[in-house]
Amino acid sequence: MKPNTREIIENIIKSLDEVVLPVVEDKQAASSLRSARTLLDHLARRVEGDADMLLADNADALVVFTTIASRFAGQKAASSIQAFLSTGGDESAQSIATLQVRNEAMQNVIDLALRGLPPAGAEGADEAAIRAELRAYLGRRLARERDMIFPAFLGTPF
Amino acid sequence: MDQARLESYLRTKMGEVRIERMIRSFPGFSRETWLVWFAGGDGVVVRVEPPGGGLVPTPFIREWQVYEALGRTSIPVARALWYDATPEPTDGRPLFVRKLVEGSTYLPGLQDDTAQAALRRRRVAEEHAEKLAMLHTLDWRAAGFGEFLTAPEAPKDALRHELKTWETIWHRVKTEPFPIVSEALGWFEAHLPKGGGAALSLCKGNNGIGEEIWLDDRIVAFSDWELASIGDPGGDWALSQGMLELWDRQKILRYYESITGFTLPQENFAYYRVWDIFKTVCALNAGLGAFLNGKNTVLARATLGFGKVKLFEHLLGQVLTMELDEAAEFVVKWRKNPYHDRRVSGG
Repeated sequence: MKPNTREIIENIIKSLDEVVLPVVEDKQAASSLRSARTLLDHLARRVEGDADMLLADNADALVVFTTIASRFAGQKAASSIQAFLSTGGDESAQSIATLQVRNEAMQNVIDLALRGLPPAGAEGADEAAIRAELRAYLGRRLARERDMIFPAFLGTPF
Repeated sequence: MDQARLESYLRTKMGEVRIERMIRSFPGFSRETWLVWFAGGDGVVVRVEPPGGGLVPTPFIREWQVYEALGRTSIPVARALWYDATPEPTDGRPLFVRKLVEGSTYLPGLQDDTAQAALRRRRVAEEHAEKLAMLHTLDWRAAGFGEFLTAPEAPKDALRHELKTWETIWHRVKTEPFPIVSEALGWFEAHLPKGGGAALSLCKGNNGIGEEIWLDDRIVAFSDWELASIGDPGGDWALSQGMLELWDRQKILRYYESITGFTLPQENFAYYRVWDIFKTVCALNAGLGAFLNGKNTVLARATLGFGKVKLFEHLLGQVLTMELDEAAEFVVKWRKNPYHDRRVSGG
């Protein structure tokens, strides 16, 4: 379909900028418009990249879970990791909504795993290796989502 | 808020008043602030808990308690009138009312590129230092603040107390897991300044231009106390939103120290610069909660609570591998104060 989703969003932004914003005098209303514009800018980027980002991120997290699972015996997050590994299948067969739910659940497990470790620098060798794996993954995750966040949210938020 | 409903409500408390004009202060996202002028020149400020709760995850009533307690001291603050937990004009959202103080949160012309403006910036910086000194040397125990604000045992515990307080808040209010922020909390623990705080003071939280009521370049009322705490006074300097850039930074601090008798550890400044990123993440993301559950549809809740939080999450992700000074410099390059080049209003 033409226009595609991104084109529609970009033209909504243009219309807000050129037609609506110049004539809105109320501060709160104008602020709402600026926020809407910022969120639309983010959506224009996200609509085309969200599925690929979630697919790649979930797949990456599953690989990391596999890598660290054997080192995690006895840790609080071990059972959650095993649960993900036992349900892991073809992520590409999932809807975006399902990918999002799984992604958040994975982040929760990673968060629990990190919070269960001793402080950085005070871990044993296995624990330090787990932290290094998880931090490396988190770095890759930030890189994956970067284009959806920058520069969309660098401007005025309100 | 509907003017007629508010006027009826105020009459039940204040007698025959007539609202001549009322505006909502902007941006005022943390808590609603309505400036109300009565026929005859007097006025009030109505502070209201936003739908779904405030942006800053501290109890609304605590801010009222701070105003009330400060009213019994010499600290310049608007006179607190009453607190109402279930008022009619806001459909039951709590509010409190204080007297309207003449002045503005904004100082027009302060950043002009003239010799007079430069001199004025110095005076404003000194005024701010004097008033902060006054606040930080207040006997907060005698003034009753220990009854509703938790306090560290001693100055050496102040920064850890702050860390643990906000860590607890964070895990209560966050809208998703944020493992990078969890790691950042470990980083803060590891980089806590060894010397602790300079003293135990009543601290305001965000302060300076954009927060206080200024008249003729004097602070006539400290305003907005949602972040009030008992802690290291150095923390307030870290949240002074550009006040240390108005004149020579070191001279401002030495002036403040000469009044208070405190010595502000330099290491703490570097720490607070980075710490402020976490506190901002915590507050903004807390505000997103009410957007996600549909109780608050203000779009800034999303741009701030999701968008800015994402930016800061990226920032914290990079800080994890840095030492304190490097992290502080890195963070400073990112932050800029919105109040010195933007028109804001308050009262």
